[in-house]
Amino acid sequence: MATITNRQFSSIPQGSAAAPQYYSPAMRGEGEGQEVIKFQDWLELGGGSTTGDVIQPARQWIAGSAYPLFHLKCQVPYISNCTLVLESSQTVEGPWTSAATIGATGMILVALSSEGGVNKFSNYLRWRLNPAALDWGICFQIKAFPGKSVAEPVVGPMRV
Amino acid sequence: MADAVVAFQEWQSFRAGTGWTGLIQEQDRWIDTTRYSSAVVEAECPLISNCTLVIEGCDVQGGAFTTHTALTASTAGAVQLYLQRSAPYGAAERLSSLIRWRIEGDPGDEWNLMFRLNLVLKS
Repeated sequence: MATITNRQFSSIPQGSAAAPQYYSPAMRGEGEGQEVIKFQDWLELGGGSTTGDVIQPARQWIAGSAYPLFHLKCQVPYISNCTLVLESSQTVEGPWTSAATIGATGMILVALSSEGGVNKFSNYLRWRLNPAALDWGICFQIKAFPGKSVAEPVVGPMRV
Repeated sequence: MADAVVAFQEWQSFRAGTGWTGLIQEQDRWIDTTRYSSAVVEAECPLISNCTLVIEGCDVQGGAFTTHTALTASTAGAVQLYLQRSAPYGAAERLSSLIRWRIEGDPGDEWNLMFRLNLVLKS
């Protein structure tokens, strides 16, 4: 039986009125003046030896047809016995093609282009974890920095 | 009675391999407390290994951060920290204008952390 451990629990009650302000985005150092998509917030996952592939929920996929270029900043402080695959597809049904693969820890910058090259992507972008037949684990975060587009960008919840 | 209870950080776990020195909370999630006179940080930290969870604050953009509290394996569990803007207060108990968390990991070892932070704010 597959065993998945997702230790990123979801929300707690927000409590009350008069919520305080969060730090102003205008004060952000990273990506100041540049659009940043939190493709995947910090997430730790792990599983046993019989786990199959783990795929990002569809609501979090990037529908990036308006972008000719994406720079992905992947922070991976821990990865063991699995591969993080960034893959894309022209349609939501697939087929999905690997655009980049991450198998080691570190800060990994990936450039994806819809115009071809080594890391080519088409319309939809998602991540997939491909575990080995061993106990595995990963902790990672991915931010996407879209390149210039000629049309209004289409990013956010995917409409199926 | 509290004016606001904020999920400063919802349940989150991290794991890092050798060589990873730590992480800082995303800047857009730092809490601006300028409207408030006091705060209680409620930390729950059921798992912490080879790292330190630091709650810290500063008053000026780009300024130096002051450590309010630092949780380690020996101090983990449920911790409450009271901060106030008016004297008297100790250096670590003065409410900063911006509050964030930071993890100091042991780069020589694998480290693990699982925690949640609530912030109770009062005008």
